[in-house]
Amino acid sequence: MRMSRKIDELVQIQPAPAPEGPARSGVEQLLNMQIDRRTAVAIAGTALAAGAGLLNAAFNPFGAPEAKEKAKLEWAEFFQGNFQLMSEDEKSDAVRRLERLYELESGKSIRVSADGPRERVLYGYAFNVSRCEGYMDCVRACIQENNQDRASNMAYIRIHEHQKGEINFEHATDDFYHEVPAAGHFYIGTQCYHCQNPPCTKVCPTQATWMEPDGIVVVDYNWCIGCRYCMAACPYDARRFNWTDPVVPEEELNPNQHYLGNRLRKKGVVEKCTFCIQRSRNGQSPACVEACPTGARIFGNLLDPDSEIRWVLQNKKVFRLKEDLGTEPKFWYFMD
Amino acid sequence: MASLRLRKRLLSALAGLLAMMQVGCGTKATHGPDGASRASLLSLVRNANEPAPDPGVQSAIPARYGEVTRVEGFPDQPPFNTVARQGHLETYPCSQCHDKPLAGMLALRKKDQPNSHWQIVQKHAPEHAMSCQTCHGAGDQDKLVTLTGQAVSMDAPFQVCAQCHSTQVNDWAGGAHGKRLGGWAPPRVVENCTGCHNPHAPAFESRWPAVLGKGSQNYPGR
Repeated sequence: MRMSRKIDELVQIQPAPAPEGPARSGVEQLLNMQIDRRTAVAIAGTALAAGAGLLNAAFNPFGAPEAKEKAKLEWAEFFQGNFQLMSEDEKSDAVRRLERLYELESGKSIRVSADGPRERVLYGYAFNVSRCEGYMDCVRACIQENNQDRASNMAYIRIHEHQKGEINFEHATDDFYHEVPAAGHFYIGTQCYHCQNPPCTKVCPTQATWMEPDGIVVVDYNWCIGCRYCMAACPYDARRFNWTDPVVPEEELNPNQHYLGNRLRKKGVVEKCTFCIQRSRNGQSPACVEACPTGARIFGNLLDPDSEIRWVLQNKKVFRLKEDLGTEPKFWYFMD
Repeated sequence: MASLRLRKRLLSALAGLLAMMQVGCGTKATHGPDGASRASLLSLVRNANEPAPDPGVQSAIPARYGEVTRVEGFPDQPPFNTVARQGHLETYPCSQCHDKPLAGMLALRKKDQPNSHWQIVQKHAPEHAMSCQTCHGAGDQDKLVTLTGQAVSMDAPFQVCAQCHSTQVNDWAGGAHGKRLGGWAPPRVVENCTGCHNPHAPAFESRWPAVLGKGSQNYPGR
């Protein structure tokens, strides 16, 4: 009580002494107006409302109703909350906005989902090093499925060509282009491992990235500020940054999208593999698993004792990369 | 006197070092990649032994795979499905031409014309180990045969393959070898052996990668 009175006194704007001389201009009158706190707040509120009104009004006289609607949607999108804090209604509003915005921009319709995790499902992945031949069908499928930027050749998956005899990523290359498999070489694919103890999510200053209950590490692209702390924190180089506005040809766009997955990104945000969340939460396997012609990629529910991934973990000598870091990747490698 | 002071200093430095080590250990235990969560993933998986609830979605395989057959009898392995192969064979049933035993068919050969199935070259095993009849037999050509002459359906080639490639077929039944079709959700449908491997030349062939590598002259921006 005492405190608030003190602040009141501080905030109280003292009446300015009446200036002498010629009549004051409108601005001067406004600046020197005698004003108390309540009026100041009221004026500020009116100004804010007027600003918002201005934004709309700018499109009013000349623009089509579509342009007006687009401006409204973008305005609403700009102020939407972090996905983790959204109610179901807010989530569905957010995805409807994205669908409508794309429709307004391109005339084509997309389907954006905000489907949540399924109960008692924890996704895991296994990679058979003996089976990978370096064909890179997985990379192509991933780029197409996840609407990755074609201009910068973004790819979540890297295939590393190793000389037989050692597993050393410093001696391996991921820029090969020749007939595969090359004699005397073997191949290891890397991507986001969806660590159960992910270092990347802990460093995010805006909590724009987190691990979902089904184990998928996701990014809310609207809340990513592009600081790239997560990229520095990831020991596996699994995250990618959009240095420019991503380019996806309209005819190649995958219209089946998820808010936390393959929806269109903007310049200045980080993205990554989401185990194709738009597919996996639908019972499908990620695009890389489906595309692999040799069956080197295995995906399933770690909490289902009858799943293939569990059989691999129980019957094969599996290993993970940089296990000593304690990141607990849910991505295992094995050999026949 | 001087040596005493030195010893005092040394002792205090040692004590300081010890204290720092203590603090170091302390931070390691509370922060950093904590051991608690390491135990939790493995124990989470290990303790999940109850059958998983119906995930509420079903896998569906693309129509081009056609019929599936049920596979049972692998120890500790719940029944699963594999792609039926008969519908994928171009000239099945074989008895359309093979209406008499193999000897009778061979009698029909004409010297100046190519042999039937001339295009099939066996690149599977050395000739002394394997011939056409190792899998196809000399009798009913609509069926495969085992080494002991038992007939096996064309839909179940894994029974023939398993005679030599038992490790691979066990891995296939478990899920470490071969390719699952549809998604991770039940029902489990896997590709049959001959869906991926040409039984006459089972090794995968070398080819160019599906995407350009940075090493390519045609890589954009190069």
